[in-house]
Amino acid sequence: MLKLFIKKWLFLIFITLSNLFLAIRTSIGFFYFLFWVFISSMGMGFVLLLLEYFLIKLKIERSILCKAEEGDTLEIETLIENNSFIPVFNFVLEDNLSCSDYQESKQRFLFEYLGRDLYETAKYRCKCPKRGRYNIGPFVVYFFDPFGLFFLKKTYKIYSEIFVFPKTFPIRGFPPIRKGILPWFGIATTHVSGNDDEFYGVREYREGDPIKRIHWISTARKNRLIVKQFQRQVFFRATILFNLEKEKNFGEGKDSVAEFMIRIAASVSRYLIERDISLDIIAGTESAVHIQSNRGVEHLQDILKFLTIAKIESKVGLGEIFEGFSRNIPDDSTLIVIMLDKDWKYMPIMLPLEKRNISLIPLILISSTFQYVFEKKEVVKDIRIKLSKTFGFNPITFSRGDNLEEVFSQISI
Amino acid sequence: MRDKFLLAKLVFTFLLLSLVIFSFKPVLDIYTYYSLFGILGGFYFSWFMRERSSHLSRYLVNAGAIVILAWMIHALLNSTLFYSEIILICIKGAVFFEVIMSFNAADRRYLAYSQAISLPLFMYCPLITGGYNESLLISTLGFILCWLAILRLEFYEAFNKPLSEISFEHNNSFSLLIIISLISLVLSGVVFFKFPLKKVVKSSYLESINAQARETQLEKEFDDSQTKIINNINNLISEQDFIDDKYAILGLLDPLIKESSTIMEVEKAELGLKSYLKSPGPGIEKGEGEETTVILKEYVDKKSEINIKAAEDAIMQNLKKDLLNIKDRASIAGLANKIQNSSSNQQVLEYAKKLEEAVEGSSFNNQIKKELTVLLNKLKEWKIFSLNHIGIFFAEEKSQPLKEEEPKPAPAEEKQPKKLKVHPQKAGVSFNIMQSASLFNSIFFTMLPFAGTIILILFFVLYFLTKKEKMKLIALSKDSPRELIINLYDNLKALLVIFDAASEEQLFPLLYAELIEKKYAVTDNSFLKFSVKFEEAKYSRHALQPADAVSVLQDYNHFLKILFQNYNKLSLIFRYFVTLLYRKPIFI
Repeated sequence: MLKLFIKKWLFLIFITLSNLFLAIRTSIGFFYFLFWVFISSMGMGFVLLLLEYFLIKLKIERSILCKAEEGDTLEIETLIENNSFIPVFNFVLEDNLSCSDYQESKQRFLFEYLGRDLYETAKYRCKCPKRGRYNIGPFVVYFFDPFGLFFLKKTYKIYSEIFVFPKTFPIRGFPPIRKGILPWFGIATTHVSGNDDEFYGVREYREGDPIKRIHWISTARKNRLIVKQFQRQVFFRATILFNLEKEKNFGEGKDSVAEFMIRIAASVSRYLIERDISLDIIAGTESAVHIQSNRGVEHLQDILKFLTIAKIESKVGLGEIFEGFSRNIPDDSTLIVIMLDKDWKYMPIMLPLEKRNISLIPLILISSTFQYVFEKKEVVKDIRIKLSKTFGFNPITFSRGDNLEEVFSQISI
Repeated sequence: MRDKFLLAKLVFTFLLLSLVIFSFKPVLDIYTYYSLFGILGGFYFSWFMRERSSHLSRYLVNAGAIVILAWMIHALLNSTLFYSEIILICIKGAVFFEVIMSFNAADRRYLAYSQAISLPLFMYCPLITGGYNESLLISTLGFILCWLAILRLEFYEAFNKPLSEISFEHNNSFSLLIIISLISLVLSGVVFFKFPLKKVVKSSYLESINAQARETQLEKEFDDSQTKIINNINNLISEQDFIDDKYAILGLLDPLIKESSTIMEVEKAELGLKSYLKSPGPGIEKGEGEETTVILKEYVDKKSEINIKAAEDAIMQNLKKDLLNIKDRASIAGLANKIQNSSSNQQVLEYAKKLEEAVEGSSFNNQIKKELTVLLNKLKEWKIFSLNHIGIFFAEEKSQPLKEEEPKPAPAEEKQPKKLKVHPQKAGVSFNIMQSASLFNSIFFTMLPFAGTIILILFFVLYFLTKKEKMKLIALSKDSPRELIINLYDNLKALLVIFDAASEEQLFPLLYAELIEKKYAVTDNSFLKFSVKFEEAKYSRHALQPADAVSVLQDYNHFLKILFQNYNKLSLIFRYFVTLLYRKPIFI
């Protein structure tokens, strides 16, 4: 704002002082009169400005959604009410939208007049190009003099928290997930069981058991309340493992390795949880994080929130993360590793997981495509051949500029 | 939106520049119209080129600006380096800059430069126009109004407020701007007179701002008095009896009217002719002789002034032989000017000495120095002669009434013009300033009633327009009670907006009435009753009687009385003026 007006101020001050100087040097009344015109106009403006600054009480409220996805346009509505006993003239409301691009980060609205006890609304929108947790605000109100030249600034510390989740894409094809069995899943969790659950037996009713689980025939027969018990027969579990290393974050902005990893992790998580698969997350960010196995929309929200704020500051390698958390990977499950081709060296330490009936799905990002610009088809082909020869499987690879949705849709199920 | 702003700003900038350029008409002469058409053409060109790539026009404008700058430097180097001439060159240069920049006015920066330059240009208007007059007053008011409009447009544009959203009819902000501007003007006037500017006599800035005009005037007066002298002396010759006297008078007249005559020749001729004129002879009556003596004295004064000017011009011409030696040129020219404006022999000698030293110490070549020294002596001698001649004349004037008639007590007003007459040199600097200041004061005093009259006229116009609205409403009470009630309700709603109790758009009239009655503690439900009647008038179809109108009017007026009790007098007066602005009658 200062940048917008500083030239005008300097010019005005220069002209005013020039008039004074010329008036003193030449005794010409016109210069002297002009000097006083400038001084009195500025003086009157300042008096009004100070009155407004100290007497005006504004109530400002912002209505905003607390969640959005990368690239989404956020609709915001702000209500401003004049609770003071005098009207306010010529003021500008500024909202600081930290989630937006630099050019759009300040939204300004000019209000010429707001009478006592009256209110106005400002509707605006901003695009959220980058994932993260943002504090929208504060509001800044600039009170202007009647000439629109000088202003005083008042900050209203009103913030709204918003999560910009990483952009997810629909996954149409995914390698098969290994099926697991839970030996005992208890009555308390049966309400989430699906059709695959099998009847396990009956037992006496205990306080807290749901009435719908009462086995009426046995109850009638035994003359006491008997409930049914189920065992989870079919149960899918998966773990996503990735490491956001600062040193290996090649590329820039959205086309960087870490952003690709986060986007893939978010989309795979959504895909798996929507299919009722219990999901663990093991990730290396500024510290190693393990989000324990769970299902449902709330779990997905937790995962997305974590991915939203995940920082690319891991100082350890993928191998160390794996070693530290390998015992947390459940048996009879699937490990999905999102990794760089440069991390092949850790592949041998993951292969023994097969003994625990854990299948491995490596999603490999070709680092050279993020570093250099060249014909990537050949490079990808080479890497695929090498991997299939060394480890005996055909990996899913990603390179810079890939349409991630297309890559997954090409997977044969 | 940008286009609309640009167009509006172009229009106001053109008005602004037109005012400035017209004010400089005496200086710009024929260029006044060329400049105006140039600016108009420039704006037209830039408006149509606004969508296209502006590289070419920017290069052309920059090239044009460089050419003007070069011209200004050339003109300054070839000038006398007096402030007056420098200012005139700068003014011309600035006007040409304005013309050239108008060709790229679609670029906001260039337009801003144009507007900015207009301000210092306008400041110098009174110096060029030679004082203060009505046209300057109108220009000043117009200039201020244009600037207010431009500032407002800039303000709206800075915050992307579309022009289509701006209503000038109910714009409180705009009203405040006008009020503050008027108060500022009055306030600055009060301060201007309360703390007057101390007069500075020692000033050489603008003493010769109208030098050219004065020179022309001097030459004209000189020619006139020369013609008169020749005629009178011819008469004197023709009436002389002796041929020797005729030749003697002719011999005296010849060096007097000769251009290259020396001081001694002029002095001798004047004395000789005076002696002939003082001794009454045939054909020369007593009165005629005295008149010719006065003309002769004036002629000699003018001749010495012309010679001083010629010497000074010759010095300037010599100085121009070394254009780049600006420092020495400025100091020598300044000292020569000081000699010309000196009011005593002592001052002349002092400045002459300084000038001699400056010439000696300068880096001019010997030839120029020699010529300058000769001219300096000539200037000095003519100036001393001029001062002495004025002194003698002054002494003779004083002694005249003592000898011939009883001294009369001269009225105070008569003394001033006499002083001005005998001290034309001394008055050179201060006359312009004093005249300007006094003229300005008088203009300001005329401006105050002028502003007051405008405000009064505005008040009465608005008052009668409001009265007309009131009469319309009263007329409806007989013809159409329904329409009256609806219009009256709208009027009351508008009044409540002025009293900061505006209704929300979605609020039903009865709910609004309840809120208002609660706010203003209306116990007799007059506003509620009025609102019920309004709903009936607006939504029902049955006929309403004049009695309904009367009861509504009673409720309306009664409610207003209660409303006014909630405000202090000052606030009511302010709001009354606002109602006049919006032409909303109060009591019906």
